[in-house]
Amino acid sequence: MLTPIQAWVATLVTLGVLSYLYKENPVFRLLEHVMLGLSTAHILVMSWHGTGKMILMKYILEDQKLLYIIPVVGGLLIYTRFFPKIAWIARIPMSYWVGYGIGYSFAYDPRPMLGQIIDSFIKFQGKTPGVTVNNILFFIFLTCSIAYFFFTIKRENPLMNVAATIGRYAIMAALGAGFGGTVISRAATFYGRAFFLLKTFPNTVFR
Amino acid sequence: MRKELPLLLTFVTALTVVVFRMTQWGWDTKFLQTFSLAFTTTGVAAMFVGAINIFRIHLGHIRRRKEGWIFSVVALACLVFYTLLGWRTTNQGVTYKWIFDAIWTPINSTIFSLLIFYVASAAYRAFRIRTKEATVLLLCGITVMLTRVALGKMIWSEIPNAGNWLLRVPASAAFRAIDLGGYIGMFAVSLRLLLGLERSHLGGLGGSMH
Amino acid sequence: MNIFEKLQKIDARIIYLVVFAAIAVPMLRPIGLPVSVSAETRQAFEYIEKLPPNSVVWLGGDYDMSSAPELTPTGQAIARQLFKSGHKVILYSMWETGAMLNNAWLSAIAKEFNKEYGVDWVDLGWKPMAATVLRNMTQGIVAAASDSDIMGRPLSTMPLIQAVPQLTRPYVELVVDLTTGRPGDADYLSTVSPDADKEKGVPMVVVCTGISGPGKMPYIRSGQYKGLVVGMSGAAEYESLVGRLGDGTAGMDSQAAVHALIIVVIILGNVGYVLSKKK
Repeated sequence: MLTPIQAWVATLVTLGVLSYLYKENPVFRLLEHVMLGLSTAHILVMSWHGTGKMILMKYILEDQKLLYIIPVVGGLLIYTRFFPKIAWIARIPMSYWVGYGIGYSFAYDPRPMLGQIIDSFIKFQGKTPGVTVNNILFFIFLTCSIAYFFFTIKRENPLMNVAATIGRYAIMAALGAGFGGTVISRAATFYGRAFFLLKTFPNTVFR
Repeated sequence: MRKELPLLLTFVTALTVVVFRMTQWGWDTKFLQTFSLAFTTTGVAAMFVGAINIFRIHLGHIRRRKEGWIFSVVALACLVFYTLLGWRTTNQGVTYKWIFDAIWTPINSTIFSLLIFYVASAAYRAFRIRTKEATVLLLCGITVMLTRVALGKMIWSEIPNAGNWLLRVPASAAFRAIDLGGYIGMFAVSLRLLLGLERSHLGGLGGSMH
Repeated sequence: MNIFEKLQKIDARIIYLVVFAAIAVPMLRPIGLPVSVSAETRQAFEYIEKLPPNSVVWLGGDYDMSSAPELTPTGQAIARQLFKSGHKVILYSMWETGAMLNNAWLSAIAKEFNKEYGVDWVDLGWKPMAATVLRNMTQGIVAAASDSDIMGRPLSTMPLIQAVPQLTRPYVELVVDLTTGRPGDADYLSTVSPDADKEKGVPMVVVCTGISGPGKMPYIRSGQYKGLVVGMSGAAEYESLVGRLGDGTAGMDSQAAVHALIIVVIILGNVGYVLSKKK
């Protein structure tokens, strides 16, 4: 629940950002830079209280779990990138992070995809004729969409040409659905701000 | 050595994670938990990199009195003040929350909410039915939009059924194909990184790299 | 120059004003358009209704301010449904910008139901390398979260976390992920769900924005998601099922107006284009 002063500040800030729709102006630039500063600060604060404080204050200093110093030093090596002569040392933590990410990508990411692939080998027969037709159509659209991205067989091949064309239309349907979803999302985002300006602000300040 | 050591480290780290995750004995040792904790700790130690970069860029603007340098002063002042405040009072502190609710949240939300205006403007000026594919895209987009609100049913009772069919059959199939293709591409890139064929993560760190 | 040619050259700011009016007018003068519930939303609701008594549900708050109007109403409806049924909630946010937002609304709902922090609900907050921390939680929550909740209080002293050592079954019955992108549901799917571990994997219900909704349909079809609630319309649907209308329902009139406006501008733009081409 906002206080009246907060509501005033929030309204002025909202209108300041919306002024960009009229044209670019110093008020918008100011608010943009304020957000930059606050966002970066927020990450630092959340990192410290969420993890950093416990690791440094409790694990290392209080519990004397000195092994934690090794990854801390490893992470600190990234700051050598700001010193040209020793900037190469920053590759070490970077390599560790990239290797870790790759390892998890190999270990974890195939499984949901396998679930998708297994589900694609569907039984056409459904409970009703409508479901059966939909299952057949789904399989056709899926294979044709995959064929659209398959460039090893040339499009001059008539079968490939037909499959890729059907796939193209299926992908257009998907992108159209995505466009519809985008409009829904963006409208909802502005709805929140409009609600604040037209309902929350007057209710907070004038009642 | 300056290139080989990082490449070797990438390979060994990736292999360690794969072996300890995908084998039962490896999973039971819980070594991966320690390994992952080390990973998180390195990340926490590196948390200032972004802030330092911002300082470098904006201090440069201020030093050179670049156009709009006063805004850089504001950005850095906000960064320092809010960080010190948050460290001292935690993110649940009264003043911290006051600024979060009254300033940060409205700016953040409103910047993203500008997009609906640009979507409407682009839909009016740029969305043209020039080809059959564009027509299909447009019709599907309109159908999905009408399905999500009561308007569709009011115009024609079959629109929600058509929209749901579009989402569940052709769109679903195409998105699955796109996901599978995307995953294969990601797998290929990961393999290249693992084998050291891709070295983009080693370059561009500033200074001379040998 | 005919009317359509004039309209083609209209100032963009007039379009912006019309969009604002399309959102504002139904808000000030609600129409009360009906809401019909989709199969995917009903699936999500029924799955949560049928949870065993005293279940622990993991709530993933993986979004920020921009998606709050779409996802927070559903999150609130689900939280009310869970607390009303006596279930417990652990909240974890993989987006640092959303962590405080999620804490605010969940605290308010917990207070509404007289739920005690540490016993009935816990907020783990946001951690750096959030997706990696999530993976680690399948082996141990306290160690992975560095024994800190959102404010740095020790997790190991909280009865709920003592009862839930890992993010696996049988400790956690369900993951409800409010997601807008990455990190988000894809991380839960690959590391926490039954895809990752057949025996101990935790089933998922996903609440997503309108943009990502169509892309998640394949996962509902394959059964990898037990339910899917999409955008503000999904929020309105879920609120109607829970029996307490809120912000989701309130926004649907404006949504309908904007959708109608976008369709009209597309048609107008294309009519003008076709006519000017014919000339």
